[in-house]
Amino acid sequence: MKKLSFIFLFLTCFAFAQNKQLLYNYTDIPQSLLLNPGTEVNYKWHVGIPLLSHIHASAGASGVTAYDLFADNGVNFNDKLRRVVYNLDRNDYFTVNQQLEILSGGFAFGNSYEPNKYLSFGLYQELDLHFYYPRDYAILALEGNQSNIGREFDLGDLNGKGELISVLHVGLTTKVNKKFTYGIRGKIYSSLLNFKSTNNRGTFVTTEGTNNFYNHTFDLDLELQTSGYASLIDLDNDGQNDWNKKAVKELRKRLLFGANLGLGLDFGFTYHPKEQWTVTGSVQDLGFIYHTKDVETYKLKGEYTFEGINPLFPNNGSGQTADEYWQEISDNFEDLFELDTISKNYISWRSPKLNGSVSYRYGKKNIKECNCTADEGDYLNEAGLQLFAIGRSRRPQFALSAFYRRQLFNFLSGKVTYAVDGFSKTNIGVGLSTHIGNVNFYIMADNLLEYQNLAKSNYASFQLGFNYIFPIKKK
Amino acid sequence: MLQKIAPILFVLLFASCVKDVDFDQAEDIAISPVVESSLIFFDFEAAQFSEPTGTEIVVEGDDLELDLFNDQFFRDNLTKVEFFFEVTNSIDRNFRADVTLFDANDQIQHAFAIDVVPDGNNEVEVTHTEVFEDALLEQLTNTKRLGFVLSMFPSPTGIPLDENSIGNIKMRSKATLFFLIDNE
Repeated sequence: MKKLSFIFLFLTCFAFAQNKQLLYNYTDIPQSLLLNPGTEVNYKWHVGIPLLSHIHASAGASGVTAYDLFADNGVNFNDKLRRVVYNLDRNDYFTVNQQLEILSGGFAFGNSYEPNKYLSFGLYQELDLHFYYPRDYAILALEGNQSNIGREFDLGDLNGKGELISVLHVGLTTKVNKKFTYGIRGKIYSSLLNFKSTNNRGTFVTTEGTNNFYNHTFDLDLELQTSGYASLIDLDNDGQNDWNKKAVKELRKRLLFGANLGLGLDFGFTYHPKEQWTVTGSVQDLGFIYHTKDVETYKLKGEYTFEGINPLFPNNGSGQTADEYWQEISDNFEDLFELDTISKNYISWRSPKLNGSVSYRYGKKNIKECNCTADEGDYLNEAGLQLFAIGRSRRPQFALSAFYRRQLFNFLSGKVTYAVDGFSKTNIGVGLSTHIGNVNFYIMADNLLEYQNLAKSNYASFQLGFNYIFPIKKK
Repeated sequence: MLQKIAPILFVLLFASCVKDVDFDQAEDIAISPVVESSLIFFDFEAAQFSEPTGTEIVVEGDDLELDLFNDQFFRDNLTKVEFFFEVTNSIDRNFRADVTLFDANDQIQHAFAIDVVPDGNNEVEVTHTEVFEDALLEQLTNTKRLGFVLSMFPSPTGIPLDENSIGNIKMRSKATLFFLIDNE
């Protein structure tokens, strides 16, 4: 139980869906190219400080906070649990996303006076978990069937997937002219671990019976697909620590071109319809992983109605002996609940993301030395709207943010966002990016209104990173 | 310098993380679902008990494997079990249903009986609730096998039962399982 509460603590502390509204189109930071390969680039080359260039860990729960469940307010824990179980909707969800950039870099090339292309590449690791709240299962566990005679429990409420992958990517950003930049990024996914249980169907219902008090009807069609899992379980096990070590070693082996591979694509653009106006859009992770090795699928399928046991008496017409009759019932139950384990290749689609923004730049910097305004394009302020959407197994999830970005000093810029999404309607975030010498450091935190007590928030976010950036020399 | 600031920022950010919450509460988790399941049922016509002399005791029985309550989950989390029986009889005979619980060594753990007294060929309904709690619950969780015997006693009038006799004996039954699932 302790473990569970720590996980919950972790979930609620690092909360964030996949929306990186603070980083999106933050053109000073090279990692913004990962959200939109068509982001404008204003540097010659960059190298991410290995393992430190992009650290992002996040989780969120829609409809529930740690405070709802664990508030130290004298209310019985089980009353709070009950409230949570009933208040959540079957489309409420829990999500964890974590990314760690291992290596990254990029350089400009093309026209030697004014390079118009930027090649960026890297390797990052990503963990993504997404579960819908299995409401009917929770209610069945909490109440049992006695108070639910006639109620159909929807077994399709079980819907979740998880993946641990590494992504090797190369992207090309092309500046067509002052107005238009586009980019495309190809990705090779290596799956370290994958599980998926998103197409479950079935019901369990207890109804008034005719021959006996109740008919219990099971209609099961449940499936869990896994890859990379069976071999971990089969590792020689000389104690938990030993297993942990071996498992980590095994997973590390899969980091680059491990067993199961996939392909993905990002593309996007930046367009200035007028000098001060910017429109951007991007699609990320349009891709799949094909699982062929170390795959195991577990299946529960069958239908059965149980109305009790009719003990054998003479002349009941069936001609069965007691033993045969009893055997038939237990066989039926065994067939129903027997987990079929099969090796079957499968495809897991990545959760595609869509970003878009419209913004307006204004306020040129006054340069004291010459008593003139700065170069064209060097606006100090930018304000706009961003839209984010992510495809999930039942329906897409959306977030809308308003943002304001300002160059505070030569070496420091900041961005403030106000986001509305499935987690919260009042999410304020702040990001800062500094350039000291050629070192870029950025740090971003989200959901600041709830910050005094993150336990009360559905999510908040935190990300940071270090890059070495070589700027384009100003003429 | 920035590398030095980062860990401090980390600490600052997460130190202020959560307030007024007590995660140890999770230890107090206790849920108490109540599950009901159909148990034994039958419906027999008088003709099926055909007994030409009218004086014999007719005994019909069956053994059912019942190792469900043996399961560790049930042992740990059950607080009470009730068996509820409803017998409806319109055969003009006395009946008795004997239920006997046996453990793995065929030792009797518990036994109870349901007596049915007729009212001619009028329908008589008899109900019986057997409650398993504490020591009795322990006996139930030791059970591996349930013996069910239905006995029909001789007619006081000595009239035999044949294919033309009227009446039915019916039984419906269910088990109610009271769980307390907690952290103990």
